[in-house]
Amino acid sequence: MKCLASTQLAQAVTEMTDEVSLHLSSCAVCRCEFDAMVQVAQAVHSVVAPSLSAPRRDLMLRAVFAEIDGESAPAELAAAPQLTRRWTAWLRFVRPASWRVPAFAALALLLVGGVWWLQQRGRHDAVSSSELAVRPAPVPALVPVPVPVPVPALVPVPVPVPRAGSNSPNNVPSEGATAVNMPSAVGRGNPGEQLPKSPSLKAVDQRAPTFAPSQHANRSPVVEQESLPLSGVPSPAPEAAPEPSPAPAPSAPTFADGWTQFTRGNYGEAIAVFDAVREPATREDAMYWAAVAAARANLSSQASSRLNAFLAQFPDSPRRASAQALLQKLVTTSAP
Amino acid sequence: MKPSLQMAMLPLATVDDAVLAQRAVAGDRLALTEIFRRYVDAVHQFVARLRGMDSDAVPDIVQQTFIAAFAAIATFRGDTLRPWLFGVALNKSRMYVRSEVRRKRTITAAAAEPPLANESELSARQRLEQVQHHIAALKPIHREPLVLIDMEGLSGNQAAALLGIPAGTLWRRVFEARQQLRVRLAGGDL
Repeated sequence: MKCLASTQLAQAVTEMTDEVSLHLSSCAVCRCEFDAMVQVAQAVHSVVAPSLSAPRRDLMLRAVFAEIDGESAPAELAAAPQLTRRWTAWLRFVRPASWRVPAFAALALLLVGGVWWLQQRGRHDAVSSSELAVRPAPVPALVPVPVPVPVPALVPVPVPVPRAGSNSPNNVPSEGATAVNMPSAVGRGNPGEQLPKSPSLKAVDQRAPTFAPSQHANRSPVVEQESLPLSGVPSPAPEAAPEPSPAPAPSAPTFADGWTQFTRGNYGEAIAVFDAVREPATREDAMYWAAVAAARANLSSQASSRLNAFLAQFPDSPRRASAQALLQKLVTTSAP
Repeated sequence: MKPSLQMAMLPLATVDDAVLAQRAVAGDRLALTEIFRRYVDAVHQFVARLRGMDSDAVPDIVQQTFIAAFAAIATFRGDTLRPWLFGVALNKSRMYVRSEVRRKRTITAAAAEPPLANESELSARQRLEQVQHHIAALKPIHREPLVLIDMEGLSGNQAAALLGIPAGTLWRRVFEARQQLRVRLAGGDL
């Protein structure tokens, strides 16, 4: 007798047929196998799954209807585990239709604003970098600029000295003395300008009208007063010059004003403003850049004298090397 | 009295599944509620057995089962909703298993538990838990036919149709599942 197939045995456990029953009554092997399988099926059937509680069932029913109606789930289900692993689960936050338009509008606004901000930021960065590449630094003390200046040849002219002051080319005045003993307009911040016997002083006086005194009318009174000798008014005696206050006047021009004129190419204006600077902190820079401005304005003798005065007054200046180089260049180019 | 009106006036607790389905298709909320009330426990137990008593996921799958079933109630053809709902629940459970790694960890942990050697030491509850763990450790192709046949009591034709496999394949898988359980319950290792 041929034994039953596995599929027949498996089916016989739940769906007994006469043929299988007849065979099992006569085949001990199949009967043993069948009994073992029945035991397993009974063990499986004895497993009782937990049932839902009534409140949980009600909550689930409400959640099902809410899902079908497209509404938000009951609040009680918030604490219950949810099957929220769909990719559209985040839409629950905007499930009410009345929320969707404002929500998506806010999202779109956020995106557009972010893109605009990034564009503005990129544009600002580009402008800033281009400006930095073009414009000089606002504080010239930090930018040593070698100045290639075409300097015309100067002809030393012996000039009769109108007065015999106590100053001499080798006499280096102090900071305060410099301010006191500067009767001329352009020589106020430069001790070299006070050298009456120097041929370069003549050159300075001759070129002084190029400083556009009409523009000085709009400047501070200090500058205006200093520009008087340029128009031929006799300068007062050095002893009669008023003692300048150590602190700058509120309306006194600052270094930044001179630098503005310098960067605009108004070298004469820049020299006047630099000379009028009273701030001790920027005095050194003002002197140096006044000399550079004079060199750029082709006032070689004035530039040389200013540089000499600068080197004498500030021998330890970090601009000493630049000043010496510029002075040497001026002397070389002005040599016959 | 018209048949439709007569059908509508029947008490819901006494109407059969086909009538309930027709009323649900017509938009009767009470019919849907009756379907839920009638089969929620059966679906819950079925899913719990399929899931190996993973209580965290079972309510979610049951809820999604009824949501999908109510949305597709118009496609129901037959006399009883129970196998049809089981089929929906089976699909939902399979989708859940695919997207969940935790399931594999649960099965691995259950399979890694050492079987209890002496049967006399087992209490009835421990024995039951051991059976549950062993069922959960079965592969889905073996666990699903076993649950449908031995737990839910579906006929071979119903289970085969629900699983979409021939009857011979179904019974072969049921046989293999029982054999594996038999070995594991006896303390052997597969």
